[in-house]
Amino acid sequence: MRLKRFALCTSVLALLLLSGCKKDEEGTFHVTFTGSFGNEPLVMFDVHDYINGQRVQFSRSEFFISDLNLIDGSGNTYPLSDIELIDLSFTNAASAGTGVVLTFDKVPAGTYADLEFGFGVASDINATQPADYPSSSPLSSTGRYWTPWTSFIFSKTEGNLDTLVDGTDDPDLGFAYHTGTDDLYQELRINTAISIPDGGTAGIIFNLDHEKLMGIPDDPIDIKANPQNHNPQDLLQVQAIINNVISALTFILE
Amino acid sequence: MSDMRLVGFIILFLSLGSCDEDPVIDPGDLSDIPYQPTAYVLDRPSGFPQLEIPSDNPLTVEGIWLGRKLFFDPIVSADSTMSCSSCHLQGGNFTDNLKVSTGVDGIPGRRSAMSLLNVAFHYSGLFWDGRSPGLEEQALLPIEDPIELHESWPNVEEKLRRHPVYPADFRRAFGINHTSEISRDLATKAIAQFERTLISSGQSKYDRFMRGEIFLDDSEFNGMEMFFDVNNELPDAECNHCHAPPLFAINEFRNNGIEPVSSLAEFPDKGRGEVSGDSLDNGKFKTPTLRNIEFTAPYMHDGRFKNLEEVLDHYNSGGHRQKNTDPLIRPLGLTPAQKQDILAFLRTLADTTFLNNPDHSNPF
Repeated sequence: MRLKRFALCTSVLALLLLSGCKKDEEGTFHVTFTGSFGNEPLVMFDVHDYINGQRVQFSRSEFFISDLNLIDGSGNTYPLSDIELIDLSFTNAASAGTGVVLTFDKVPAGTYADLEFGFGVASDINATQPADYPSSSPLSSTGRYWTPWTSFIFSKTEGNLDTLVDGTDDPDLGFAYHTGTDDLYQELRINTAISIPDGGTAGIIFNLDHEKLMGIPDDPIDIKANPQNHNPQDLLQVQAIINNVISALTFILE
Repeated sequence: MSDMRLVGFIILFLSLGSCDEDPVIDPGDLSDIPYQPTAYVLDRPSGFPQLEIPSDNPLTVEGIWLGRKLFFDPIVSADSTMSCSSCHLQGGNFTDNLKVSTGVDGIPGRRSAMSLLNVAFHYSGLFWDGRSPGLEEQALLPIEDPIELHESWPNVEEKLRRHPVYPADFRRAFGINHTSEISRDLATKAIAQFERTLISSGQSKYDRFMRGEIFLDDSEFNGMEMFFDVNNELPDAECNHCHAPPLFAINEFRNNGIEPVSSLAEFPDKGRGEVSGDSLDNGKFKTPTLRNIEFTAPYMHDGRFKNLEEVLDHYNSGGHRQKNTDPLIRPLGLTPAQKQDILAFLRTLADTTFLNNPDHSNPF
């Protein structure tokens, strides 16, 4: 009887030890987005030099990212998030410096080869409508859905331009560039080794340079000539912004 | 022996007294009235947002009925002359069609009464400045506002407790056992339940066109193309940004350029800025619904525009630019004929089924 009891205790102890050995190795991963205009943090309504002596200020900068995934060296995908709204419309430098921080806990520890996401709303979600989401979701906002496109608005870049070059910063022209539709969804894959330690933290910080987003210096968007467009037959500026995302987006590892 | 007699008399007296005493009846006791609430399921037109109802205030037939009575009953005002419905009339799409509303003391307010159509979906706050987070909280405020109903909640609660009918209504709606349990909390919950039923019928000309049931005429169709900017040969009227379907409103606050101010500090009514404390919100107001817009004149938070023609003239002009003016406020270049087309489209949003719905009318 004593022997049986001893054997039982030993088995339980062994089981506990074994299960302890099998504990998942996990860490925390941060994905941060900040905005800038050149080397200056992007603060809403700060005034920046633009082309032809004009002065520009941004009043809103936000965009969706979709299908944020880590990919290991064998091509296995670890999904982090289906959809996130990145709203860089900060009105003070401190918040702008911090940016939008997405935190993912319990990510399997290890080294990943790539991080991927889409700039915009992936087609499966883009086939849905705001009414499909609770009010707590950014996708529920009809202000982020463009009915004529039957598409969510992927990004909003809005602000004011002082075209008068009269020595004051009083804006005289508003601009709004909204992107959307499946055709303008842009997949991005960042090939860089990301090591997430067991019980530790790793991160990557993206910065979206709005000077480059507006095509400066090579092919600047002429805001004055065309301060907005969302007509399906007239998407020149919208297309330019999407094209500029790749060169405007840089990253560093934390 | 005499002591024993005395005790005997006392016992006899108490026994007799006990037999003669009437049973104690508590006039505030409501427990004999049945409490069998009936769940109410709201219909909402296809494509409308999800209806989010507080878990502690589910819709019931009895709660909606009580709320409807309270909404129309002047018992909630200081002099029993005004009710919620005094500023939110069904025929005016639940507005009062006044530039600004006037309270029981004849003092004009500073803002126009907002329409309550589809108010159940106002998830970013109630009032023009969004200062109230939900319908239950909103219903608390006009009662005690000195330029509205100018009553106190303790008085209203007392009037409701003494009322010959309301205690039973509260019992049937909320299961209270005693009149003393009638409270502002339950009264506003009931009003909120009724207000959540004020939903579009889905029978406007626009809705029926979208379902393929009818056609729009040429003028209405042109107007729709400019409203949504889907025809390169027509100007973009920039309407859809702030008045997106299905509600033809977005739960956001915008400065639409109506004030000719030279700085953010100069807005005569700071609107959202009063709530947030952020000067960049000064002059921003909630974008109202355009459904039934032809019935809600005058327009804007202060009723400055007498009719829709004046509204379109404002937007066509490009308005006044401040740093927080919406960037899409710009000269539109609409011709008089094109403005008429847009007005024709706006009239397709008329929902007379809603305006005439007997379930939303005065129950008295």
